[in-house]
Amino acid sequence: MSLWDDSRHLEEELRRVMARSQAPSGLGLRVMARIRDEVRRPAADPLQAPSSGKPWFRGGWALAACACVALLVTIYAWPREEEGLQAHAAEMAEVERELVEVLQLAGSQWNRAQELAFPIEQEKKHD
Amino acid sequence: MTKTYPLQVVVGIVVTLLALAAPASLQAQGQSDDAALEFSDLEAKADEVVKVNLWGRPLEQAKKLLGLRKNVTASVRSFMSGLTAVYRRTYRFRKGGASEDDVRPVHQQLAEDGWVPLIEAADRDKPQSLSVYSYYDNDQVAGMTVVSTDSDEVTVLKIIGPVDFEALSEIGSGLGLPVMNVATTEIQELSSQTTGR
Repeated sequence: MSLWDDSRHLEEELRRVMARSQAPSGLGLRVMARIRDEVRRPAADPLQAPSSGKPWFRGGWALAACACVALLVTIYAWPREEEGLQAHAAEMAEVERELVEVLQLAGSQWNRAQELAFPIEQEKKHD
Repeated sequence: MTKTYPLQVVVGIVVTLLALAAPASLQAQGQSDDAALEFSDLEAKADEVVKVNLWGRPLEQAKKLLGLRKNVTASVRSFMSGLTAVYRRTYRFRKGGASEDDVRPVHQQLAEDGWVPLIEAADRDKPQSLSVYSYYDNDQVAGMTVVSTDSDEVTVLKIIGPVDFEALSEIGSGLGLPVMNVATTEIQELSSQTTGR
């Protein structure tokens, strides 16, 4: 049985009591009107927070959600960026090593070619 | 006046084109050599092939990195700054090695591309030969190629850019560049051969 049915039942009871008693009819009508008003007024949800309907509170939730998303994106992207930087550094080190290797090899070959081509001058130099 | 004005414009354009053409041709040569340095016969016969192509942005970054390191002498730094391309082809053979016929196309291709032989040396006792080629642009050495043939290895090194031979000799003697983890056997072998002579 709903609250509305309760109030209807109460109203009928009250009407009977008022009819049997000698109380002024105006009082009974006012009481019944008050009961009807009370019943029709929407009751507050006890589970709903009193300030949840305010705009600033909703904005706060949105802000917190955005911060969480940003945090997740950062956590996800950070290692990948680190990996990319490390891979690039390793690649550059490899290119640098190759350059040094080729230059050293070319220098060694150049010195060897000179020694083969001008052995007497080299021997004089050594002397 | 109407005749001299177009002439000045034409002369100006020609001078500008000539000024732009020299470095552009070198740049183009440096890049086109990437494809030209393919010796299919040697590659087919070799058991191991090493290819290094350095030009453009990677080379610039490597030069910058190397320039930041200690123990790089001013002459080597200057030599490196002028480099526009560096190439290496090494063909290693486990059995037999490369014959003269195998290496001949390398020399032919270099001659066709305008490379001038600077030093050609061969060891009588061993099957070794070494050729150094240079490339001239406006009477200046604008590149160097070394072709070395050993019993089990053929190496072609090509350096595009103004070559400072003294700086190169310095590098070959183990000076001028930082000690890096370059564990190539040929450099160690070469340095032992050079000191042993």
